Amino acid sequence: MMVVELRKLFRRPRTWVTIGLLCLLPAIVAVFLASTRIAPPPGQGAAFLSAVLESGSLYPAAALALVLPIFLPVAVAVIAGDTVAGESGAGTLRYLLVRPVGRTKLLLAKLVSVVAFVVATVAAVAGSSYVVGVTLFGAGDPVAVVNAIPQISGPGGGGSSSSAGGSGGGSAASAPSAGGSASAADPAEPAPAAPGAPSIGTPGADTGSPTQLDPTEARERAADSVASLSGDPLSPADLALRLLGAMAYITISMLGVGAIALFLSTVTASSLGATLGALAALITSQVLVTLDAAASVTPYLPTRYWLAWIDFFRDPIFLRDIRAGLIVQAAYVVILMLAAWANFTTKDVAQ
Amino acid sequence: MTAVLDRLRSGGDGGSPPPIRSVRIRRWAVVALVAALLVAVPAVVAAWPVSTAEVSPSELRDRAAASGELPWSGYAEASGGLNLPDVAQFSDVTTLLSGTSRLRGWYAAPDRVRVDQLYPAGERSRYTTPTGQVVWDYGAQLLTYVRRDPFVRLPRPDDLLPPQLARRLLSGTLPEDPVSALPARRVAGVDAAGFRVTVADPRTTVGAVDVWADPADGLPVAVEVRIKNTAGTLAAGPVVGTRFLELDRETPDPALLQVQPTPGVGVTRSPTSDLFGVLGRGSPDAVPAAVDGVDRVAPQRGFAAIGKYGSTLSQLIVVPLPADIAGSLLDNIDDAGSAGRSISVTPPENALGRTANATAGALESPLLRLAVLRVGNRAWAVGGLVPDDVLDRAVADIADSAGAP
Repeated sequence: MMVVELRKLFRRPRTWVTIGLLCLLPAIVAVFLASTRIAPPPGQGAAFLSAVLESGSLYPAAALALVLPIFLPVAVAVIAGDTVAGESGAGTLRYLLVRPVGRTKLLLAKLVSVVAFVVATVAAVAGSSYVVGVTLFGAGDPVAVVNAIPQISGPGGGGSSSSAGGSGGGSAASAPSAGGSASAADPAEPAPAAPGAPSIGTPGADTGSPTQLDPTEARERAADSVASLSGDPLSPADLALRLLGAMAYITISMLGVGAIALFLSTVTASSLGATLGALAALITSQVLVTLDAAASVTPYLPTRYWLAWIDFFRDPIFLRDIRAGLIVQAAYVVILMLAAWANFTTKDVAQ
Repeated sequence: MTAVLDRLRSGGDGGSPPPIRSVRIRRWAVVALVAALLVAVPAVVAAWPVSTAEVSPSELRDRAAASGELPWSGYAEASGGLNLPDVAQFSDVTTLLSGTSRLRGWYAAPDRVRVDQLYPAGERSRYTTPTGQVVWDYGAQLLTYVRRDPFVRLPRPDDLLPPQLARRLLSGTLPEDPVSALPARRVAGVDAAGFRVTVADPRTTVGAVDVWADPADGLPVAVEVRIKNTAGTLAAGPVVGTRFLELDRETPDPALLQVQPTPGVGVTRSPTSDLFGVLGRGSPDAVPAAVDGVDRVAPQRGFAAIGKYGSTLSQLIVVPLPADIAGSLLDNIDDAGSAGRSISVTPPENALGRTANATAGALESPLLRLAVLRVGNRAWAVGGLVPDDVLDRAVADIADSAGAP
């Protein structure tokens, strides 16, 4: 039964068109970013978008942040809302139920197909955006690499070197100019010090002691490293693991939407009605999440912990909201699937 | 489940199947039961009785005040209800005291601390080390090595962590301020005993400091600040509150307290990260020797222009301001609506008998008040947890001192 449902899902052109459209949005954004090199100002725009110019390997995270608020839940609501109501509306549900398969099992197979869709979509968005990101932005920006070398290797007085680096120019990050190629988005470009605060000499000896590295090794390390939200360097393997964690979390975050739409799909014969019902529930949840007056119910809302996937990129990983998000999604899936079961297994299917 | 329920419903004797209606009701009852159970679990956990060891409130207060060496790590949320308008030069402070701050902290010793302020898609971290501080700003991709900040400085996110806030506030209370017990609370898994210090001093807006602390060693885990009105009556709800939501009492891993800069990020150095640290570098004569009858506390070396008057919660802070910044601050105060108030100042006469232009305005909040005074081409900021009359007298005293030879 599950194989049948999965085959049905992935044989539909609609499924692939939906996944394709979801992959297209980050690709369009990447093309604009790469052609103009204008990233959103820090703290604005989608998460990680301001950092992708430095390293394309972060682009999957930025892409997930782009599709998560609207496009992904809409796609999930459309697919899940169509699961039972679509069969009912097309008049195929009664033929489906003629087969010697229990309704509970059918419902579970539908849930599995929704999960499979979410997994495939999240993987496709992350995978395609990785390719797009590394192609358009590179795995590490060469300007950043060149500028980073003095900071890592010590001599030259830049950055974290413990030698006196009082350059007197408002900053001690006396990185070379990289042949004049440093762009406005160059992360290693010295930022002005606090107003009226002249530069001073040596910082504390243990507030960032340098590591002596071979220049080639330094270049490789700089090329590979991406800063976590906490500022620590993330190796490619670490980044990949965190991305996988974020993808898994986003997949689970979508299960609540899927369960709402699936339940509504058993209530109505109109898949559009089920989809819109699920989206209405989500919009209500989003509105309440931002409302301080609704603080007492906020922890129970399905979208409350959606953004917790970003916590995978803090160091150490901040698990509190991730854990809470998993519990909330599990509770929604359990309650709504039980409701779908109670309704669907006792429903008089006329069509 | 279907089969089990159907068997139960039919009495297990293989009798005739029940009408679908009763099956439906039974199944929906299961749904309602499971939903009620899931919703009830957090409520039951929250309402579970709290039992704490017997500690007298005054003893707990002493332990909380002396908890500076206790290590911990955890996550806390602090909320401020001051509703201060956003004023450009003080936006960090107004935002901090007018919203909710999400804070992760690792505390090994007073000089080995890391505090991360979490934003939805960013982070600002402050590492305190024995030789200085390092500030990481993800949004700016910038690491700043800070030499030192003055003791008297603007509030920072790390000040709102429960242990820090409790110790700071308790150090501003007087030993004779009455201490009473509060009902115990469970905070981040700790059955915490509570006490209230009622602040008797009429020169401060702080009415009471409520602290919940681990009765075993006195580590504060939650703090609430209540204001009082002019009659001395306490407000019903807290105006500032902070509490741990996660707490680990082990000494944090030293690796977490050390900065590990990522290659490629910007690095800069600054003598101070605080606005007062910049403004306070002038002459010690930039601020008067006394305001509102309170003498100035001896200034800290290197920050001679910061004036601190008193060491309790009613203390006033005065710093000299550049005239142009004061002008824009006064404009902001004019635009602040009900939160802004202009103060009438009598312009002082100088040695030649001429009077200079004098303007002053104040930003009002239930707890904190901040005034800006400009006399001729000199200006000052005056702040404190003080009521209007104290602030007005302080402003008048500073204006008078500006005319003195």
